[in-house]
Amino acid sequence: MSKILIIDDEPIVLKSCERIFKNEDIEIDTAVSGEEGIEKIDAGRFDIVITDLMMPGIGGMEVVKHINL
Amino acid sequence: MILNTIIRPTIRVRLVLSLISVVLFTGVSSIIIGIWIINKNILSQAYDAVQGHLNTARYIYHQQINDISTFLTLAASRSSIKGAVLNNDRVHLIDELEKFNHIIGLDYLNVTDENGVIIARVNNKDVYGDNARFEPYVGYVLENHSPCYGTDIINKDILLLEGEKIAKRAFIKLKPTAMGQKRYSDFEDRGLSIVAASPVFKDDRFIGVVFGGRLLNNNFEFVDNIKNLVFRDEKINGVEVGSATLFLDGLRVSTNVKRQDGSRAVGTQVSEKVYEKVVHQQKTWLDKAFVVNKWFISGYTPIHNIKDEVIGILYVGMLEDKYDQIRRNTTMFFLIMTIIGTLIAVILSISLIKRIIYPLKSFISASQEIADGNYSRKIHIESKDEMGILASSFNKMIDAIFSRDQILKESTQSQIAQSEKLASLGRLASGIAHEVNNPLTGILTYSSMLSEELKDSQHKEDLDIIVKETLRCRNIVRGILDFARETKLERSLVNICDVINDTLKILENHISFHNIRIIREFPESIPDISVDENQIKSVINNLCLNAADAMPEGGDLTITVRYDDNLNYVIIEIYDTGHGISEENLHKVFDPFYTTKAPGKGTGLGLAVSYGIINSHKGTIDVRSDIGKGTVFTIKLPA
Repeated sequence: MSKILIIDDEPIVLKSCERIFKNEDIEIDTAVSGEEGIEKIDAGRFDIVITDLMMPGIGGMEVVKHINL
Repeated sequence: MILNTIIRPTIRVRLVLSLISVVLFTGVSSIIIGIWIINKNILSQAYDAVQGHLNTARYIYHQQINDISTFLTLAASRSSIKGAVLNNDRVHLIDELEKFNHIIGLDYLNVTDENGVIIARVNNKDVYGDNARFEPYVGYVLENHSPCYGTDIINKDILLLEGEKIAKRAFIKLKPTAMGQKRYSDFEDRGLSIVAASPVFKDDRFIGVVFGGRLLNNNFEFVDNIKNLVFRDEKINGVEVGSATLFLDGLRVSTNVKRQDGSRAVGTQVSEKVYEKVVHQQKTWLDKAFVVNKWFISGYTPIHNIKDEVIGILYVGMLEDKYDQIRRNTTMFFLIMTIIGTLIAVILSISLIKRIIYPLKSFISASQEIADGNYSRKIHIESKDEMGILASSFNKMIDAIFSRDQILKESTQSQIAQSEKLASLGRLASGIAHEVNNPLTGILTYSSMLSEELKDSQHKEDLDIIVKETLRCRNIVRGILDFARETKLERSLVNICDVINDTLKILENHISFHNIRIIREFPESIPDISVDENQIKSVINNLCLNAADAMPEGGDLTITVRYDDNLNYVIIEIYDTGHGISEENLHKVFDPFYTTKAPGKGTGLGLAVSYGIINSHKGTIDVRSDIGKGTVFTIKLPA
C-alpha cells in the first residue's frame, strides 16, 4: 500500500484529497502545517509527499529541504 | 535711486542711455548749430554796423566840406568883401576875412581876382600876386562861375605858398608797414586837403574867387570826432574800440589808430589788397583787417578829387575784440541755457523711466511669486494709463489661473482617488478570490467525485449542474485573479500583422464567426514592436470576440493597421458593424464586471483585462461607437 502525505494549511484541500483517493489502494495522511508535516515525515515513511508552498510558519520549500537532508 | 531694482540692468541702462544720448545729441547739435548761427549773425551785424559807421563818416566828411563851401559863399556875398575885391584892397580884405576865419578856422583862406591872381592870403599875408588858376577848384570857379568843393592833394611848393608851418605839418615820414604797398620814397611832403571855392560877383559881374581849405595831414579833429560820435570813446582792455583814418593815396595822414607805444599810426600804409580794391577799383572794402597790430572789422571807402580820381581813402574800423566780446557773451548765455535745458530734459526723462520701470518691477516680482504658487499677490497700480490697464488684466489673469489650477487639482485628486479606489477594489477582489478559491476547490472536488460515482443515479443531472456552476465560479475567480495580478511582460520583437493573422486564424473557425466577413487593411511594411505576444493575442482575441457578439445576424469585422511616424506609434483599429454602444455606456465598457451579456455568458472582465494589458505596454485603447451602425476600438502601441 502506498503512503502519501499531503501538507496544506487549508483543511478543505486536505479533505478533498482524502475524498479523491478514498476508493484507491492508497493510504493518505495529512498535516495542516509545515511543522506537523516535518514531524510526520520524521515519524513515518512515505512514498510521496505533496506539499503546498505558501503556508504560514514553515513553508513548503523548507519541508522539501528537510526531506533532502 | 534705480540702482537697487531687481530688473536686469540692461533694460534700465539701455532706456536711460538711449534717452540721455537722444537728449545729449539734441543738446550738442543745437549748441553747435546755435553757436554757428549766432556767430554768423553777430558777424554780419558787426559788418552792418561798420558799414553804417563808414556811411556816417563819409557823410560827416562831405558835410564839413559842404559847410566850408557854404561859409565861403556867404563870405563872398558880403558887400564889404565884394568892394575890397573890386578895389584890390588887400588890407581890408585880410581884415574882413580874418574875422571870418576866426569862426571857420581854415588853414588857408585866399581871394583871387577874376583872372585867378591871388589878391590876399589871410594866413600868409606876405605872399600874393601868384596865379592860382592851376588849382583845380579855383580853375573850376574861374571857368564856371559857380561854387565847388571837395578834396585835393596839394604839392609841397603850393603848400609853401600858404605858409611854412602848413608845409611842415604836411610832411610825414614813412613808417614801415607789413603788407603795406610799396612806395618809391620814404617820406610824403604832399598834403591831403579839403577845399572849397566860391565866386565873387558884383552886380552880376564875376570879379573873383574866394577859396580856402583845411590840411588833413596831422590834423586829428575829424577822425577824433568820428570816433567819439560813433564809438563813444569805448575801450576794451584799454584799447579803443573804434578808429577812423584818412589816407593820402595809401598813406595814413590822419588817424586815431594807435601804435604799441600809444602814438598815432600816422605814416603807416594801407595793405596792398585794400589799395588794389579801393584805389584802383574804386570800390568800398569791408572785412576783417589787420591794422597796425590788431584785428579790426574795417571799412575803406575811396575819396575822390574834382576829376573823380581816387586820391585817398576814408577808413572806419571796429576792434574785433568788441564783436568777440558780444559773441562770447551771447554764446555763453546760449550754452548755459542749452545745458540747463538738457539737464532738465535728462531729469524729466529719468523720472519718466522710473515711472515705467517701477511698475514693471512689481510685475516681475508678482510673476515670480505666482510661478512659485502664491496666487494671493496682486499688482496695485492706480494710474489710469496703460500700466493701470495692464495691472488689472494681470490681476484678472492671476484669478483665472488660480481657479483653473483649483479645478485641475480637484480633477487630479478625483482621478487619483478613482485610481486608488480601483487599486484597492482590485486588491479586495483579489483577496476575495484567493479566499474563495479554496472552498471552491473543495466543492468542485466533492461534486465531481459524486457526479462520477453516481453516474447511473437519478441525481446525476443535479450533481452535473452543481459541477457546472462551480466551474463557472472558478472561471470568475480566475478572471479576477488574472485581472488583479501584475503580470510581468515577456517582450519580443514581433510584426503586429503576423500576430493579428495568427489570432484570426484560430477565430475564423470559431462558431461566432461563421457569418462574419473579415476584412484586413494591413500596410506593406510596418516596424516590429516589442510586446508580450501572448498578451497582445489575448487582447485581439477579446476584441474580435466582442465584435462578433455584437453582430449575431452577421456583419463585417474590419481590422486596420498603420504606423504613425510622427508619434512613433502602431495603430490597430477593429471595426464592427454591430448594434453599437450607447453614449452613457461608452465610458463604462472598460470597467471590471461590466457586461451587456446575459448572466452566464462572459464575465465582464475581458475588456478590463485588455485595458490593463495595453496599459502595461505603455499604449492606449479607446472606443467610439454609433448606435445601430457599429463600434471601433483603437489600440495605440509605442514602437
